[in-house]
Amino acid sequence: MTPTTPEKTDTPTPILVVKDLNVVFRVKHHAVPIIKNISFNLFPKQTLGIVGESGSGKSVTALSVMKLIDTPPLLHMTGQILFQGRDLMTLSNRQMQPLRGKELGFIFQEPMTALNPVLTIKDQLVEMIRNHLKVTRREAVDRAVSLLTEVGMPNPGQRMRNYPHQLSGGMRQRAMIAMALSCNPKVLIADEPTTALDVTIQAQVLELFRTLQEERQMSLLFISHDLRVIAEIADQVMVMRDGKNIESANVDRLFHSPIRAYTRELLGLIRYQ
Amino acid sequence: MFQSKWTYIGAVIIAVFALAAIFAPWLAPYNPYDMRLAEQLSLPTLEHFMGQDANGVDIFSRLMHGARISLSVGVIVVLISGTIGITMGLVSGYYGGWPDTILMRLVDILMAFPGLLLAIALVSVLGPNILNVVIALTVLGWVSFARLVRGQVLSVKEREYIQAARTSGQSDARIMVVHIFPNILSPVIVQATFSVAGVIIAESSLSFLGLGAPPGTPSWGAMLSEGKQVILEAPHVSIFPGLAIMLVVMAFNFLGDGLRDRFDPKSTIN
Repeated sequence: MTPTTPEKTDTPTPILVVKDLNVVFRVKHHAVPIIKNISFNLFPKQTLGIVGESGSGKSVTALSVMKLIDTPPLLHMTGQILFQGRDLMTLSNRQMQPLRGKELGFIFQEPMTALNPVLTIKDQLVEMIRNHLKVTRREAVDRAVSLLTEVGMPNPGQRMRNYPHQLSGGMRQRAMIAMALSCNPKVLIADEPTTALDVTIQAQVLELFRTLQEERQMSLLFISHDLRVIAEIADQVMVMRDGKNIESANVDRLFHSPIRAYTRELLGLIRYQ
Repeated sequence: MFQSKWTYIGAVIIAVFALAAIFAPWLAPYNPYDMRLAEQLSLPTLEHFMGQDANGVDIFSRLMHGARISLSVGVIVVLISGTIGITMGLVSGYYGGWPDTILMRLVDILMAFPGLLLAIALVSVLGPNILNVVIALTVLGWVSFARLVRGQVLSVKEREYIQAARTSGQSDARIMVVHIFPNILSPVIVQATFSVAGVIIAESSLSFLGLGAPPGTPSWGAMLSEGKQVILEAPHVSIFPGLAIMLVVMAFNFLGDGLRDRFDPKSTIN
């Protein structure tokens, strides 16, 4: 499958290029291909939505970009992942560490389980900031407050001292987003960031993503099983099924004239709901 | 409520013994080495309310000084063996693979020995003194911490927040110390409390066998051993050190039980 072509971008060089990505897992002594020849380009300030049903390989694709798939189950991974021209495939775990969180932010689906239950929001934010940036604790705390304000956390000064279980689902996801943004990543990878939230909070969080992306000029790799969410946020869309790229297109083209039967099927599901 | 009362009693007993141990040189009514052979084996009186031993030394004063040895050996051994065991368990559980295999086989081997026999053998080889008792009990003690921590790490490392910490670019060491360790601290504290009790018994046993503190040093185990010779004519010489060991061990067990109930929501259902 050919990489997505940019149709409404002002800078032609993609910030993230994934080329012929193949990921094979070992399942009970058998090699099982999980991702099959996935290629895509992510352009600066744009959003690429990856959509597909459960088990289609969306999350594995996202974790592959971070090079965070454990061995086992990983058997081998081939292809190219070029971030600003640098092939992440050739980097060791130690070389990847400065990129993770600093250049490539990541947001998980379930904010309850993705925040450490025994550390306060402040501790987790400060830890994250000081891990990548050379700042004093005081500066890190100030930065944490301004990040929480930026993501619309009510009473950030007070919420900082809370543990995750003391926050509502929406606030937790805002805290997660603040953590992911804390070191100004160029690419933000969000793996089903709105799935665990109820519909009104979902709309607020999507709005927050749009605002943040505009203000910070980030590229966003947004994963969701929900085409409506993708329609709201993405510029380009890649439809995945069984680890394969079924169809990639500009969001308008995909929604108005889908080529593949599977895409039409997915779109049909929205219309019936 | 009942549980917390016993925890409280345990904590108070430990506090009393700890204060007695710390301030023994100032609080003890007599010198623990002051022999009054004319008063040997005298029964409890108003001046010597636990009586005097075979050398006429005041038993109460000796017990207070003995608390310094028992409690400090207990705490020191648990601190050292806990630190070693926690580190081993964290590394082993987090990385898995061959370091884990080697470490866990070593743990299996050490667990296969009857603990006290191995301690006796080690102290006999190294030479009987308090430092070697500490070394022998540390060699035995880290194992239970390593096993406990490894098991906990295996469960915690699969949680999403650990994955999240990795996506945020934190190093393995940082993940272990900042993210995993605080999550497994509760069972470790409980284990440490029970371990202090175990170490106090082990130290007393070794001293009872003459493998601990040098003869004449006020140590609870040694006092029991000395009392054994005269148990028929002067039972108070062995009863009081025996009671002291029992009380302290019981207090640590009460505290351990209470902490476990407090930290582990599953054990407080009824």
